[in-house]
Amino acid sequence: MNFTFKHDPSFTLLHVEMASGERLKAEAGAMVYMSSGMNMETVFGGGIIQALARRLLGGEPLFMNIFTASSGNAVIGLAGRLAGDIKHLKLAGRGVFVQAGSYLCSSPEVTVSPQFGGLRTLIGGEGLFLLKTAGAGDLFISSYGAIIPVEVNGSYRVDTGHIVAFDETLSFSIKRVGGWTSTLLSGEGFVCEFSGSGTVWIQSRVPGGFIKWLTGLLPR
Amino acid sequence: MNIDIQYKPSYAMALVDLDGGERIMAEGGAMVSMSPGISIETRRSAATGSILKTLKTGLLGGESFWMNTYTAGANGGQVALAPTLPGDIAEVDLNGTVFVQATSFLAGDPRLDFDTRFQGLKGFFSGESLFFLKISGTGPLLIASYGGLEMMEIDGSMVVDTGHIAAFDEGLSYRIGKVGGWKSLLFGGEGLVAHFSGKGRLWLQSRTVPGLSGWLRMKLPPRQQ
Repeated sequence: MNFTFKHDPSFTLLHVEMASGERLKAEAGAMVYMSSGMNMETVFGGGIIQALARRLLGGEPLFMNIFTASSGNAVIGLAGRLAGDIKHLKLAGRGVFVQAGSYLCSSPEVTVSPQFGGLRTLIGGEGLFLLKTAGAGDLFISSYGAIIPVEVNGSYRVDTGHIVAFDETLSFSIKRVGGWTSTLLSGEGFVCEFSGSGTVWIQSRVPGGFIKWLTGLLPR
Repeated sequence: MNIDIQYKPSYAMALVDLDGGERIMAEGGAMVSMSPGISIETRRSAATGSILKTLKTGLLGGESFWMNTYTAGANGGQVALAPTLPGDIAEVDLNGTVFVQATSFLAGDPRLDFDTRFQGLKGFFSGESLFFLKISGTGPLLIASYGGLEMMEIDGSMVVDTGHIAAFDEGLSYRIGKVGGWKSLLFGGEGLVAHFSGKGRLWLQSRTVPGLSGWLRMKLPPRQQ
């Protein structure tokens, strides 16, 4: 599998060349184009329970599409829905948590399962719905805005809406910023405090922030 | 005429230098700025004099195609043009016929022949309608995209999500259909796709307007009655 990014970082398009027999699974609706010699099949996102859980908790598609190259030199283009970037992560055993809306596609060997992180992940207002990806293979994540990897060693706080993904080696908890005055008036609301050692990928814009801004401008 | 496209690819703007008497025709609202001595004339559609074509555009298009023609005075001048959405602009040196998705048309030589062709089909779920302008002749043409503009040389076949189509050469024919099985059509999130075949250029945009509008409709609070 060979891949290139085009039109990055603002409107990134992922172009993938696949050899015969190679497969790629993708979020429903992510396909931009595909050549002859590429077949698409739609499947439940890994079992009915998981699919239901994803429906209830993840808020994103119940189904995934599996693309299979049936001849050499088959190509496919994939993109996220929002203006933003795509990054490639190479998984090798260790898992990565991906914010549900940021999962784009992955090799079939990578498992994708919804992660109910308990109430702690729900109080952020913007909601932090996570998918756990694991296994060995390629993973592509998408964002609203730019994607910035941050190496954490110790502790680091990120506004919940800016989280794209993070290594499972990091533990996290949702916290208020400062006192209640700050929580209510600072516009920061809740942050995710990571601790340990690993990478956090953050996005430079928040979809919820844009919606809130637009809602304020639109007539009622 | 000299066209310089700047601020690619996310916020592209076209600077069109006109010699004395030269003209450029652009979609309504596209003008950013212009030098003194340039006159503007507004017309419905591009209809090259034909009332029938104008009517056809008005009735079938469903979109208003008010076009402005900018004409340089004796000393020439410059018009800056930009589309509504963030994205790219490409110059196509037309010599033949292309089909341009309605929202991807930015500007062109007024001597080109414009015709509207309503494709009479809406995407099943997204409400995305396929509506193309048929543009023929010889001269410069500017097309715009939401997101990046990707030009592909097709020789054979290619399946494309309809919302990503910006423009394509006449040498390509297409049929609208599903991809995968019925389950894919219902649940695969791709809706209907265009199966292109033949030989020619295909311009795709890396984001779609239905994708954006669908997301906004889902996220914005319902309008109060």
